[in-house]
Order: sequence, then C-alpha cells, then structure tokens
Amino acid sequence: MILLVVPHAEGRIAKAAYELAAAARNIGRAGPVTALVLGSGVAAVAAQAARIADQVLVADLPELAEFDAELWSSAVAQIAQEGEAHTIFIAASRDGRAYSPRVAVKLDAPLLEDVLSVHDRGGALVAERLSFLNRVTETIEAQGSVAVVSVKPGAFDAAPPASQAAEQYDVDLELPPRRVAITGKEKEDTGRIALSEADVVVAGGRGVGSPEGFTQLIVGLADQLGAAVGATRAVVDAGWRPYSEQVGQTGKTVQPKAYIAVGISGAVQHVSGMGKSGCIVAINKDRDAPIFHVTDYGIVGDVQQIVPALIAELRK
Amino acid sequence: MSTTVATFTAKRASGGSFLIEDLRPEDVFTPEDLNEEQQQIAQTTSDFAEERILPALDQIEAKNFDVSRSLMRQVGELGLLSVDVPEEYGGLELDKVTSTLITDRISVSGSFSVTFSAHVGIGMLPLVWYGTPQQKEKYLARLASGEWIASYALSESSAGSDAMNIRTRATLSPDGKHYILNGEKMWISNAGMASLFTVFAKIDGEQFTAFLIEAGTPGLTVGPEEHKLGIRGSSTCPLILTDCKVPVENLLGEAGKGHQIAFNVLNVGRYKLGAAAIGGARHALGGGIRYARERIAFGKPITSFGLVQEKIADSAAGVYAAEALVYRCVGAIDAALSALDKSAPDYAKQVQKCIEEFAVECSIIKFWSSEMVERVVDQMLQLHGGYGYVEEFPAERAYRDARINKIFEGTNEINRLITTGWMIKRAMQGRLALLPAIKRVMDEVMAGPGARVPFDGPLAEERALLANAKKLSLFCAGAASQKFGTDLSEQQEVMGMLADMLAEVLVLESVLLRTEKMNGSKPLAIKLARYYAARSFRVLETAAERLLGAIAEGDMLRTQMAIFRRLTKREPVNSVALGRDIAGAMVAAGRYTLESRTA
Amino acid sequence: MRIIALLRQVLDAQETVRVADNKVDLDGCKLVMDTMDEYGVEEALRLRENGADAEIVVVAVGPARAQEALRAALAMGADRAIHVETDAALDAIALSSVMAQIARTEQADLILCGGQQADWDSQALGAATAERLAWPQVTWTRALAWNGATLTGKHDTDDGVESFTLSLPAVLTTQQGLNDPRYPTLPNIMKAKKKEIRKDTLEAYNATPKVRLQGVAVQSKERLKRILDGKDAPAAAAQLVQFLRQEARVIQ
Repeated sequence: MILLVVPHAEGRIAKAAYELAAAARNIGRAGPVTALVLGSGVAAVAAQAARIADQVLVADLPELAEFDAELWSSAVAQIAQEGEAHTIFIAASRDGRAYSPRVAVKLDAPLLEDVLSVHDRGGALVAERLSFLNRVTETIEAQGSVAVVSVKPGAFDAAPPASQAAEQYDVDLELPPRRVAITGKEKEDTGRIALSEADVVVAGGRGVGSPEGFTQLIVGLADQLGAAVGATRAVVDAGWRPYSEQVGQTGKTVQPKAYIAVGISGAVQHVSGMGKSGCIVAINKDRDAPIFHVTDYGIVGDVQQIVPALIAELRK
Repeated sequence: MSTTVATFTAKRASGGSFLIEDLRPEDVFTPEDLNEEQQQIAQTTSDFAEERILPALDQIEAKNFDVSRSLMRQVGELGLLSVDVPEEYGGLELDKVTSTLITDRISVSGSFSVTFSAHVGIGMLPLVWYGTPQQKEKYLARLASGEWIASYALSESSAGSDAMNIRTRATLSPDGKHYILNGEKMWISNAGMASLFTVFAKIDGEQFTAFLIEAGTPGLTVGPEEHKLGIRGSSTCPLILTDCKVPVENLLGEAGKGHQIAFNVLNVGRYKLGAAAIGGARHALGGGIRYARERIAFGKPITSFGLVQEKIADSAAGVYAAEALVYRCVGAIDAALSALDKSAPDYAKQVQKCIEEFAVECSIIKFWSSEMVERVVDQMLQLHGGYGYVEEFPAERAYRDARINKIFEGTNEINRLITTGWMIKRAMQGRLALLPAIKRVMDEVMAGPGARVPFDGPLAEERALLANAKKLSLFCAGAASQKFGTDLSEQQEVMGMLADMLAEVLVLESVLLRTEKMNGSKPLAIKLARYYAARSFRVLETAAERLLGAIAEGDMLRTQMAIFRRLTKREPVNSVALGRDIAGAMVAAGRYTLESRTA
Repeated sequence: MRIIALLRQVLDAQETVRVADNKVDLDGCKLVMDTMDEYGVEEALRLRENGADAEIVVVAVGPARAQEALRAALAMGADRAIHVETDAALDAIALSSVMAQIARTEQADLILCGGQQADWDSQALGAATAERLAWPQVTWTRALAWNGATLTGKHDTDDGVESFTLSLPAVLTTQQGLNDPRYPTLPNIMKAKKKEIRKDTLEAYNATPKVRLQGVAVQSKERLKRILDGKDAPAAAAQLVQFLRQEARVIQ
C-alpha cells in the first residue's frame, strides 16, 4: 500500500494533506492509498481524511496530543511494516522533515526529501527537488522496494476530495516513552491571512528602522493591499515581529504572485525563501543591495518616504 | 587553494640583487605559497573586514572615533595586532608575510586601514625594536590588545621630506629627571584617538631622539582635526608641545640615535603600504565589477562594452602584479630574517639591518603600489559614470582615500630618489655587484647585435622582454653614471626615470616568477602576466627614451638610440583580446579572481 | 562529556552556482564550513565555557579539501577532528550510518549538527543519526543550556517556539540565531596546527548510498530589473503602482 501521514492542525486537516493525496495518486504505484491520522481528538480530521484516501487508519491517543519525532516515526514505521507499505508520504513541514528521516532509517529505506515531483520508473522512484539554497533543481533516483517521500508544501496541486468517504479503522500502537519534555509553547496568531495562502506578501527587514516603523510601513502597506506580512530573520531575532512571519531558509518558503521586499538587503538565505515569487519588488536605499539582482521592479531610495507615498497612491 | 602543509621559505637573496641576478620560480614566495595557517588568518581578517568594518564605514567616515576604537579592540582580541610583538610580551611573533597579508585583507576602508597601520606599524614597532624591558612591560600589552592606540609624531610644518630638519627641542631638566619638550608636530595620524605617542625631538637642538609620551601628559595638546580630501575617518591632527615634561625613562633607544628608528620603521611602513594598496585596489575592483554587471546602457550590461572591459582588465592586472611584487619581496625579507638568532641580545637591531638591506624593494613597493591603486580607483570611478561622482557609492570615497598614498610614508619623489640612490651607493660600496654587471652589458651592446637567447614556455616572449628590460636598465644606469659621475644624485629627473625602470624590472620579474610557479594550472594568470608585461615594458621604454634624450646628443645619442631600439624591439601582443578574456573571467566571478570560469 | 559537531564543507553563499557534467561544479569556487554547522561548533564551545566539562570533536565526511573546514573548526577551539576522506556522494540517510558509528566509537554524549545544509538542502542528517543511535532529538534549536544534568532550551516547530528539556545522550540541530560564531583568533589558529585530525577511509564504515543523483539544472528566473530612482518619492510610487497594476497585473 501507499501510506500517507495526514497533516493536521487545530482539529482540522491541513491543505498539505490534499497535496500528499495528489502525489500518492500520481506516483504510478499500486495502492491502496492509506491515510494515517495520528493525534488526540482527531475524529474530524479522520473524517476529512476519508475523502482523500482509499482507507483511513486512525490512532487517536492522548499520548499523541503533542508532536514528537520519536513517537511519530515509531508509529509510522509500525503501520508501514504491518501494512507492507512500499511508499510512505509525509508532508515536508518542519515537523515532517524532523521525523521522516527516522522512519527511513527504521525501515532501512531511502528518503526522498522535500520533493517537487515523484514518479515510479520501472520500480525505482525518480524525484525532483531543490538544492543549493533553492538555486538548483536536482533529479534523484532511489532504488529499493520501500521508500519514504517527504513532499514540499505547495509543490503539488491539491487533489479534490472524493464524494464518498472511505472506511476508517482504529489501530493499535506500541509507543516509546516521550524523551523530550515540552515545558512551554509560544504560538503566534496574528489574525491576518497566512503567508502560505496569500497572493501578495509585503515583507520588511532591518531597513525599516524600528518596530514602529515596521508597523507603520509594512503592516500599513500590507493592509492597503490585503496582503500577508513577512519578515526577515534579523527582524524576528530583534523581537520586532513573531517567528510565524519569518521568510527564508530558517523560516517559511513562499511563492506569492507578488512579493514586496522593503528594507531587505537580499541575502541568499532570505531569497531562498521567496525567490520563486511571481513578481518581486524591492525598495531599498542601497543601490548595491543584492536584492536588486532578483527584482522585477525596484525603487532605490528612502523607505520612510517611499512606502507612505505608495500607500497614498494606492488609496487613490 | 594550496593545501601544502609545510611552510615555504624563499631562497636567500640580497636586496637590490634583482637587477643583476635571475631567480627561478622555486626561489621566490608567491601568494599561492601561503600555508594553511596563513590562509586561515587571511580568512579571519577578510571576514572581520566584511562583517564588522564595512557596515561601520559611515560611522568611521563621520569621525566617530568610538567606533574606530571599538574595532581596534576587536582586532586586538583576534590577535591581529600581536603579529610583530615578541612572545614574551604576549605576542605571536609571526613572519612578515603574515603581518603583510593581514594589512592586505583588512584594507577595505582607506580610513580604517590607516588607523590600523599607523598603530601596528609605525605606532608599535619603535617600542618593539627599541624599547627597554621596562618600557615594553608598561606599554606593549595594551597596544597589542588594541586597548590603547599608538601614534607616531615625526613630521612638522616645515620638516616633512627633510625629517632631519625638525625643530622640536628637548632639554634635560635641572634635576635630571625629565626632558622638557617644546615644539609642534604636523599631520599626525591617530592623534585624536591615541593614548601613546612616539615623538621625535632634538636634545639641545642637536641630538635627534625619540620619546614615548602618554596622552594627557601636561604640556601635550592635540590640535584640531585636519579637514582632509580623503581618509576622513582617520584622525590627523597637529600636536603642540609646550614645556611638556617627559620622564627620562621614556627616552626611546639612544639619545642622538633617533634617526635610526625613524628610517628603519619607514621601510616596514613602505612595504605595508603596498599591502594596503593591494587590499584597497582589490576591493575597489570588486565594487566596480558588481556595479558594471547591473548597470544597463543601450539595452546591455555595461560589462559588454570594450572600453569598460579594458578598465577591468587593467585594474585586475595591477592587482595581480602588486600581489606578485609585495609577497615576493616580503618573502625574501622573511627568508633573510629566518637566518637570525632570535635569542641574541641584539636581535632587534639585526632585524632592522636585515630589512634595511631591502630598502630598494621597500621604496619601489611604496611608489609603484600607490600609483597602481591610484589608477585602479580612477578607472573604477569612471566605470560608475555619474554615480562615481556622488557620495552614495563607495567609488568616490575610494578615489579620495587613495590619494594620500603618494604623499605619506615618504613622498613618491623621495622614494624614487631612494631607490636609485641606494642602488648606486651600494654599488659604490662594493656591496652590490652593479658595476661589473653594467660593464658586461655595455660591452655586450656596444659589440653589436648578438644572438637572441631563446626562451620557451607560454611566457617566452615576456621572458625575453624581461631580459632586455634588465639590460636596458643597466645600460641606462651606466650611461647616466658616465655622464654625471658623482653628481648623478643631483639629476632628480634622471634619477626618477631610472627608478621607474628599476621598478618595472622588479615588478615584471615578480609577475613572471609567480605565474611560472603555477605551472600552467591557472590559464587566466598567464593572460594577466602577458597583459601586465606589455604595459610594464612600455613604461620602461618611455623612461629609457626620455633618459637617453636627457643625457646624450649628436653621435653619442644616435649610438645609444640604436642600442635602445635593439633592446626594445618586440612584437605587440593583442592586449584587446587578452583584456576581454581577463575582464570576462572577473565579471563572471563578480570580483577579482584567478579562476577562468565563464558565467 | 564528549560533544561531536558534524560539519560539511559547502559552497560559499556569495558564489554563483554553475553546473558541469550533470552536477554542480565546485572547482575553483570558494568553499567554507556550512554556517549552520558553524553554529554547532560555536554552541559546543559555549557549553564548555559555561561549565560543561567537555571534549569537543569535529567530524566531516568528504573529499580532501574538507580538511580546511575541520581546521577552521579547530581554530575556533574544537579539540580534535576526524576526517573520513572520500569523494563519494552520500545522501543523509547513508551518511548518518557513518556518523552513528563514529559517535559510538567515540562514546559521544551530545551531537550537534546544522539544521539544514547549504548544498543538498537536507534537514535529515541529525534526525537520521539520532535514530541509528536510538537517541532523542531536538531540531531547529534556538537556545540551549546545560545545567550539569539536563539540557534545556527552545526550538522551532511548525506551530511556533517550544521550550524543552531532555537528558543526554541526544542529537540537536542548529539554526541561525542560536549564537554568533566566533572568528578564529590568531593564537587559536596557531594552536590548531598541533591539533589532531584523524583520517579514516569510507570503506571502514560500510555505508551505501540509497539515493543517486541523476542530474541538476540551475534555477533561474529572468527578472525584469526595472529599478527606479526614489528621490521623488510620489513620482516613483506612482510609476511603481502603474507597473504593478498594468504590466505585472499583480494588484488591483
């Protein structure tokens, strides 16, 4: 069977689950496509998962209330072995990429990590993925009867949910003890459109000057455009903005129709997180800033003057 | 990058001998011979320069000395100020190539480069070389950590080039405990930030002596900052001494022997200026290339245009040649120093004598490198067009900053006179076998055209050029000596022309040796060498022609010109094609490189 | 305690990526220790400076030139290095087998590894190594402390930031912001000369790659690069809005 581990949050299935389903259906390998739901209080998720797979396996356990790489990998490996899964799909979110390697090692299987596409070619799996800080596309091949594939969010078009719900089955798991104790959590909820969903992103770097400057210029411009707000690592580190807004190698990778970078120098680590955007706009006082190498449109000048002028122009 | 673990030491060669001896590539030190530790030190320095100095440039230029002081403390913490300090005082006592390459890599800012060099070179070396154990105990650690900044005060308003003519006086106090100093010093680098000054004065108006004076000593006043054309972030002030009481313990070296300190320290300052020029030129070139790649004109990036490529190629060749020159000479100094006994009581004295042997090389490095970097910053500014003329771009600052290099550490005029003068003096003293060499060449060329010595390899033509360059220089030196005799030193223009020729011989030879040592592993280096050789020989040829015109006439001139023509006969290289290839590689890399990658 | 920091030598971020022979051509390029791994080395040094009685060993698997990265780590202050010299390209899962064997032989207590490496853009090495050793892991660590008995700190997950505590042995992966790596000072560079780099061959470790590279292509999206002068802010703003509305059609 093809196993896909269903990503979910706050009691609802995540968009990535539909992308995993699409990948599973298009890989060119025999099913059945089996969705695995791990968590606590996930009945609703299981019901939604029943529309993307041929069958759903559910482990709804209090021990699975919080994500843990060892618990998840143990659960997935067990199910994969019991069900003789030949292909295991995991969404390449931060957490997914944290535990999928453990599954691969447990199953002594290759890991095709963060793929853009994957197909069976004569028994071997051939996939495309990005490397060198998202600057290169590589084609890789994995031999062997079992493979673990983590799928880049947004790389596949979501498969539409089926009209009929598949069967759900509860599963038993032998879970290891939790060895990493979580003593606190800082979640961020900004009430704006999420970075990964938006068509337009307005992002700010240290060049906006201050947290107040950021609010005034970046959030102000984003409000005017109905855009999501993004931030560089430097700004998040400085405590001006929450981590959930961070774009870049250690933050989110986004591909909006338009990405407007204000006061951002354009270091490779940041660009790797937004370089695929449809249209890139940069506003910076430094003509030499690397960001201007990757822009479609730019303005060299004082962001404190230009951004308010933009907001005013958009209001007209 | 070289992965050699062993340290390469150059063959022992004596100063000035480049004109009369031919070395092989394995005899000289080249930038490719840097060992692993030196490469790591270069990396630490470059990383620091890029990550800490460049972002602070605006602050530095605004004369925010707190920022400069903080950076000096940071370089102190990295150990970059301890390279020439003896181990017993917490220093690293590394070789001169290492201290040279630190100066090279740190020079991304003209202002900070001067602050750094004035501190670690002329600022600290007098103490290292001439300080008593007590003086070193008291001051050296604080200077090496960058906590204190040093300043060197020699020049006065009416005594620049003629340093021996200073008027600052020192008189011993009646109780014999202090010297009382009165006078004024001018153009003193780091004065506004310094905690320790090395001040030169004449005891009783006669004995030229150096004194260590702490900032804040009553009677020592630092005047206002000069408003300079360039290196605005470097502190330059007059010093006023009014009955300044300096304890006798702070007399540095020996009374009346201060000139030794002054001259010896200058030699080191001169080759380090070369290193700073390399760093500055390389950095400016990188900035120019990156600008040109982005700038579109007539629908194309301006790097597509020949007249832009030419500037890039010319600048790159200048940097390549400078690296060859400076590392070869400093490597030779290191080889000579390595033969000394470090535990000898007069070790410091021997070190200076050793370096003094290379006074010609140091002076050549000084005037040649300062003129090289001047060309580079001018070409890079031009490449920026209008943007090169405004403050938003680093090109105009680099242009202004570079200008001081032809003036301080001995003007280029003085350094040219030293170059030629020293060669002649050594020849007269019998310490350099110049006269026999000149005689040999005169005999050879007077005898008529001889068989052309065949050279082989990719630089065969350039080897032939070099051989002729040496002959032509010896010939001109001989002809000038015959004409003027002992009065030659009064003929400054001719002395200058000879110096130009000597410089080009030294640089061209260094370039060829460096390139040959690579053994074909870098085709781009061969192109750079050929490009430079063409330019070098033109300079040499022009100087020789002018010289002969100035010393001979009539039949004598005709005879000499026949020899001149024979020695300068050559086929021109295709400098356009070479230049395009060189520029192409630099543009593809986005900076100065020796790799022939195409985009 | 013995801390192992895993290093990779990668292309410098400023270098342009070039492809030759169906793989990225590193010839003549500037190669550096991966910054992510640098955070690991630095963190090991800080744990020691803050009281952990630790020997710090740096490990790299790669061609001869990877030695430079190991030397740089030794020059930062690590105690010794292990270089498994090979030109073979191993994927993270295969490589983790080598790393785990070394960790066992060295009786390591803590492994620090970059959260993501800048050449193969993989986040798998740390996790895979932890699995082979049957150790717990924490990824994307942004703060860390050792109190003599347990590790505490903070790390990033999909939802946000979590505070954690766990006991050794463990694998932790790093990220930007964990610390500010020190420059190798000159005295440390000179001291590093005498530090041991033990050489091993890959054959000793029996690791077989499970994933093969078939080919690469450089991603390049041609950008318009229409740059306006912003001195007259309202005019520039008006022009930009027009471009975005009419030409690019990305806003209303």
